[in-house]
Amino acid sequence: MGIENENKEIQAVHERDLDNLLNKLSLKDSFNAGKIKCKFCKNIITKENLYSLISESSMVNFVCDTPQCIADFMAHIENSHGAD
Amino acid sequence: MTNFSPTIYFGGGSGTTALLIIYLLIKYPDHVKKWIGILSRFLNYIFKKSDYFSTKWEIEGKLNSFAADLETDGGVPYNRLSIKWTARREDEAIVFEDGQTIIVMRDKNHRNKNFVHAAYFYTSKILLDKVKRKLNKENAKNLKLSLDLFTTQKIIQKENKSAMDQFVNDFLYPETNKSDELKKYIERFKKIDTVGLFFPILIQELTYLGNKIHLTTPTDEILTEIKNLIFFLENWSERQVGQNIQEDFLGKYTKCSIKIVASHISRELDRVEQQRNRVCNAFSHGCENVYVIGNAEIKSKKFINKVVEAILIHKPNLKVVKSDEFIARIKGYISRIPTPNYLVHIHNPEAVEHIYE
Repeated sequence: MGIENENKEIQAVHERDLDNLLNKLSLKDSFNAGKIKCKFCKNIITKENLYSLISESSMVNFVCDTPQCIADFMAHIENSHGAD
Repeated sequence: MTNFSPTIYFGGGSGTTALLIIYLLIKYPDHVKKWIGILSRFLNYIFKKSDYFSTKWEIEGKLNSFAADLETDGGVPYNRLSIKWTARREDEAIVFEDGQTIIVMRDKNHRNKNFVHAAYFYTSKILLDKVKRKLNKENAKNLKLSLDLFTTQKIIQKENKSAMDQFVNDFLYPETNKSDELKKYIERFKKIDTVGLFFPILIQELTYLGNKIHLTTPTDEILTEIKNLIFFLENWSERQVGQNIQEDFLGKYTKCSIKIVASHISRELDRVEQQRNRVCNAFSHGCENVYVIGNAEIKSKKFINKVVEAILIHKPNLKVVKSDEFIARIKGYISRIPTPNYLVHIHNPEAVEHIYE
């Protein structure tokens, strides 16, 4: 095929570095105040149920770790990539 | 001679150390506390550092070795994964551009959860990403989700069985119970996997398809073709020993064939040329890939290799991408029989169309 495999990098944050990350994103106060909600199910995001952060249109969205929200998240990032 | 027990020795050793610490604590309390503090901070630092390394290396190692096993010389490439920690240091600048994602990893007490989340992300966003982009339609949602779930389940089964319960309880069971269509796809993949054709043929063909470029947006035509490929392989999985079924799948974008070449009669009568012609005919009809299959017993394997050799002499442009042995649970008259199978994947690079309008 003449195509070589690529190394795809994924960004990860360790739970113990979450405060630092939220601080850098200027979201620590709203997060600790329980004002951040899951992009899909609208449940309040906590350190315990947070699965992912996604940057969209200069905003940061949060996704909780329920299977449905993770599946919705995968579909959402696929759709935002478009097709070949 | 006194019998000296290592346990007693160890106990005495720790006792002596404890006594020494108590003595020093009484005599030099501040100095001892300071040094214990330094020592525990150092141990804590090592422990925390090791958590980053062990999580990263375990996940990358297991997922990338799975991809390496799928990969073959000259076959489709499977992308690797690398984890980049972010926000580890307070002075670290965070680059978080539009479209980027950050996944949260837990500490080492949640190894299985970390692996399940990473494996699912890897399957969905790296391993099957290109093919799923061809299915960027609402009516393909269950097909895409079932491919993600079944593939992730296979990865976990091979690389980290202890995480299987977590995956089944958190993802597979709740999701399959939500949709009958999704459940049907999972059942089909299970049947295809029973005869050993899920990764070597289905995922392989979907990855070939994913690497093709479509200049227009995906249409229902691709979805229908992928569904037909799944039905074709499901039909194969239902084949009974000795039964003749459709061997060629000739779609618009995917053209492949499965040939069983080492039947008892062909082998005994050494019908190498006849079998060679069957395979070569499939290539003449436009197949990009022919999967030559037979029993893995020595006589049969030898015959298959003879046929493959004859094919390559007859058509030197063809390439053997992979030869592999696996256990197929083939349908007998009463039940499925576990049978060692041998598969040789032959590819015709000249038949591949890379760009479609």
